[in-house]
Amino acid sequence: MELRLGRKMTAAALVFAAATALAAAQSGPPAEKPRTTPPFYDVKKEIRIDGVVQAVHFEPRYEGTAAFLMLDLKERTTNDRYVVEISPGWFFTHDLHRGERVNILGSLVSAGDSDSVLIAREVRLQGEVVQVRDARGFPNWRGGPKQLGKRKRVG
Amino acid sequence: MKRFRIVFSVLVLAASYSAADTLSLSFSHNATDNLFQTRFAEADAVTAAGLTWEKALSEFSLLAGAEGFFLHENTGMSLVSFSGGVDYLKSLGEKSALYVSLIGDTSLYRAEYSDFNRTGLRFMAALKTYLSPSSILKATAVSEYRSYRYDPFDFFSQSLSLSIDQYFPSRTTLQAEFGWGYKYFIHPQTVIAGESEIPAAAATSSLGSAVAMGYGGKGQGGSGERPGWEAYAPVSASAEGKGLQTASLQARLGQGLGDRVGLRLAGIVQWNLSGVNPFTTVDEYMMVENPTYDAFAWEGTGWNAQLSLLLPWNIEARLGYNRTDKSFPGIESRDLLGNALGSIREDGRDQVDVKVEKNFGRWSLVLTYAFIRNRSNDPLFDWSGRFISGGFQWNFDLGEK
Repeated sequence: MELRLGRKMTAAALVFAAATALAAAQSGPPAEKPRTTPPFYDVKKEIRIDGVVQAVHFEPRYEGTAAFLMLDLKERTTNDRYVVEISPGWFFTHDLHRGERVNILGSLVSAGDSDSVLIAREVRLQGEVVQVRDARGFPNWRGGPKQLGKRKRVG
Repeated sequence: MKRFRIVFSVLVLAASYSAADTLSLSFSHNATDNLFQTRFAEADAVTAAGLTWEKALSEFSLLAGAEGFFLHENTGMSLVSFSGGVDYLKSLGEKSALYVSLIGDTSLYRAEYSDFNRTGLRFMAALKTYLSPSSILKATAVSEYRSYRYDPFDFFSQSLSLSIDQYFPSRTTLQAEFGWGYKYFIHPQTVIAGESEIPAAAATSSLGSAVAMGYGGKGQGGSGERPGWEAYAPVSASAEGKGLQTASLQARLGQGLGDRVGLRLAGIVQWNLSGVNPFTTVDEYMMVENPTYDAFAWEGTGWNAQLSLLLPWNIEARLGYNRTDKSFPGIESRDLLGNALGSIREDGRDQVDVKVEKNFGRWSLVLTYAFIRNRSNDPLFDWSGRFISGGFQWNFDLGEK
């Protein structure tokens, strides 16, 4: 029985390793180093946009944190383009695809010659609202992935 | 109760003086008219409080938590649990990420239920990658070891899931998921034919001893009062029945309906590939995990529908309906006197639930209500119950913006 269990665990490990290898092959070169002057959340510069996801990617944003989930968003009425910073762990608890409609409240941290950058505080999609940061802009995303598979309480 | 207050106070103070990045405090009050989820309904209320701490160190984060559950009537089921561990989130390029966590935990019940006291270790690895901008592949592996005060509960389990989804311009997401799991009971056990005495350990647990009322509390409630249960004892030679192997297929459909409404439909088929439950009965309790009843204990089908609504003032509402038809390999249905009915236990369950949540940024309020009707060919488990809960979570952030 122990031998059988060992084989099953080995098979499980092989499948997971294969998936990891596939991801590595898909992912291309590692992302760039974090920027040296990180943006910060400014509640005075909050705007709300209603947009359509054009692309999703990971990007290092701040020293001392994991890479952030970033969205390339096109505003639905004006067609303005935004790069939206979401959070690190959120990637594992919500699935976002190109073409999905999202409504985002966030702080506009730059409006240069290219796409504007928005730090998200609240994300609405398909009847759900997720508070990525609190009203003052403090991160609220921790505890994301580790909530996966948490035990149920009722029923 | 006094002991819980002291433990909780110490944790609050310790957390307050630590250089934490995030502290979360949660509190909830829960009530039900059927705590033990049997036909002999027994009402109770559970007050729960928890404190979690987390500190981010680049791609790693440390976490620790404590929770206390105080039952108002069946006070012997009150418990405290502690957990701690580390997790790691790593991007693999721009389109993929790997998440790994190792978490240890321990739960301590009051004396009457101390056989459920346990320590455990859980390892999880999850990978998510974009196959294309509109298709996501996810793989998750979970390994878990648990050691209970009552040895026959001890187990090691391994599960693996692989899912792929596709988003369509109609705002529809389709997802398919394959799951595999194996739960290995470290100490095998079997029925001792003709044994009339119940071993002391079994007499204080749910194992083959519903008659012992180990978890029945007072009155008519609990696991029932069926006489005639066989006793259990460990065996040294037989390995049969030590492990349970399952496989499952799930399909999910998500549909956006306007800007404020989402609909989700999901279905699951689960098969038992090998092994049977080594216990005479499997049962569930509200708010309390029972090692005899988990994802490995059954085979059958299920489906659910969930409607998510975003109401004015950013209030989220979720309405859900869930239907399951399960059979429990190795578990024989019995009449209320404990006589075997010659069939494997089969349950059909309908569940309706409502959840309303309002997030205020730093803290959030949640109200839930669930009604469950469970039909079973084992009359003890033919029951219905209502569950209501209200609580809040408050986050303190001591880090940088």
